[in-house]
Amino acid sequence: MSSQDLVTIKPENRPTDLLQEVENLKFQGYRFVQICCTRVPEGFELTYSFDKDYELKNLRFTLADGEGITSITSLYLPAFVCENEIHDLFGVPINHIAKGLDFGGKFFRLAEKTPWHDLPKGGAH
Amino acid sequence: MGKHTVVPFGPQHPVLPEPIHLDLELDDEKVVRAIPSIGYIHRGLEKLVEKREFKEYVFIAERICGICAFGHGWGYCKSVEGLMNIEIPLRAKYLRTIWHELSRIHSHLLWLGLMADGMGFESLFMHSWRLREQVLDIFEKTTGGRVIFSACKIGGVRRDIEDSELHGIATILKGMRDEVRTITDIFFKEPTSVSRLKDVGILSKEAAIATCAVGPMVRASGIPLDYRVADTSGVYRELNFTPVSTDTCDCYGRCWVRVQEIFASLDMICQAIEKIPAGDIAVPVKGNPNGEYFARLEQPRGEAFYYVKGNNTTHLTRFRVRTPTNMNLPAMVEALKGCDYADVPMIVLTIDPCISCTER
Amino acid sequence: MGYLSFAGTILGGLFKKPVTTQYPLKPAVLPEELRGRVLIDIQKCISCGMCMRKCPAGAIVVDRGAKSWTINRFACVQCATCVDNCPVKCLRMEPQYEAPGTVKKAETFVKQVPPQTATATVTLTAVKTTAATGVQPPQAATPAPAAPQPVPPADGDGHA
Repeated sequence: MSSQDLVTIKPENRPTDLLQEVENLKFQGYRFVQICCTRVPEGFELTYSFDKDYELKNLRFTLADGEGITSITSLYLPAFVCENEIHDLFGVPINHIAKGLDFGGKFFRLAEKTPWHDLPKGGAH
Repeated sequence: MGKHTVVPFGPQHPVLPEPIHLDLELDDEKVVRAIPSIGYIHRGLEKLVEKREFKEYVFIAERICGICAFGHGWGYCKSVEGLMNIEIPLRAKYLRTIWHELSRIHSHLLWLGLMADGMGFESLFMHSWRLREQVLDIFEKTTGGRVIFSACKIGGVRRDIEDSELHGIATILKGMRDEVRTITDIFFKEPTSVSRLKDVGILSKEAAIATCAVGPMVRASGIPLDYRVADTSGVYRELNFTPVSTDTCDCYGRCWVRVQEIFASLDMICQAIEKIPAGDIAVPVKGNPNGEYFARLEQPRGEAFYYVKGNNTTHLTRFRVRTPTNMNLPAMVEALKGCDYADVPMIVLTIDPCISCTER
Repeated sequence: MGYLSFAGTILGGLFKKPVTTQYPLKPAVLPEELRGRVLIDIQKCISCGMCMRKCPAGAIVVDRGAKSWTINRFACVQCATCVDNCPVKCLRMEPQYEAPGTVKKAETFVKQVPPQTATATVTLTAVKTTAATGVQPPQAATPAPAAPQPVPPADGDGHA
């Protein structure tokens, strides 16, 4: 079954540490699985998942509202699908997506911009 | 330097089963680059998890896609059961595996029909779907629905299949083998079909690893990646299962992999029917989900990833689905580079695009 | 010979019966287990509202006071959750799909209350009142569904 292996990246080490960690994983032969974004009261919680030999390894950190993060398409090109989705739905700025794959907010055709940006009202929280 | 044109392909096109838009940059008749664009069918189903109780949400989860409906229902139930540490009865695991493998057979037969339709071979498309009707009749009799089963619930399954009915299903599937063999052999023997599939849409082993493809897309490029090897929520460990792979790296190989998977699934279901134990089909669920959990499942199109997060209320805070087509889109874009304009429908269909899954 | 690989299927198709039914001219053969649409045996319904609470689509409205049960046919997703959760098992799935239409309609079923029940209630009230005062009732009626008739006075135990 999936391992719940979670590595949390400290806020002060974020852009450099994220790319460093992802580069280590790529060198070890990990396969990119997904990026998940959750709206939490502190901002946005991002989880990056990688897989090798059917064992998951996850990287987790929290971004404040408006704070940006560097894209990992330089290392894992298929991440552009998840990154564009997070940018379109949540409004998290993602910098330096690979040339030609940054859709500038138009990857998903939405009636309103960043519909999932705000904290959910009622129900969950 | 030939004539440079940009042709918009989709979202409505006779060969496309689901709406996807591609901007094809052509140099004479060769595709130089393809830029995908999705979002025609986004329904915001992940956001609905905040508005429906976690026990009711299973009905929405299985409506993410019509073809992989059971897979999504099982994936959701599996992730919540992992989160709440619920152990479901063994009979429920067997039933879920049987329904999922039947789902795989129906999905692959549907895809074969679409490939034939994409080639223009209409009668082969009709025959493939005629075979698929037998599987849909089994679904209708056992779960009450042809496409949306509503068979999974958190804690187990909602309906039982009696042993006499199970033996009836095994008889139907054994009778199907020869017919499936006759129809699927045509894809590999008929010269017009072979010329449309062989050496079309090459995705080398290195490119498959670099684009992180999943499912038959990567299994036809020589990498036997199949999550069923490691899946403990089904009963694949007790059944004779090995991943099917080949190294032709083209559409022909992917077609071959899917056809072999149909036969492997037919075998696995007959084995499961012989081994299924008696017992309960569900356990009661108490309490609310709290914490987070990652789960994975091998759907017909590849590995699907599920993430749930709960905060001890009846509503989950987050439910994320990363579907196999989400990962195969970059692989498709890579395979489209350098191909002929006339081969574009074949390459788009070869990833088995399920755009409604991708966009939810 | 590759070119003739489909020939067997074509020739067979010329002589075999069609696998399709001439629907809707001929009726469709549907299995009993099919989740077509929800039907209710309204006389058994106790208006507990369980089906309304459990329905994931919010298609059912139960009015306790009016003893009515309304279903929005076009919101129902035929999941059979209401059927599974009904405590008196008055709901069932019929293997017949709802006919398409141009207007989204809702169907209401109202429980018929038999007229004698009202009289029985009156009789009970009378008994209660007299029991509180401790006076022997001239007509100690038993709460029977039949029309009230004078009964002999109670023997001091067993009533109300």
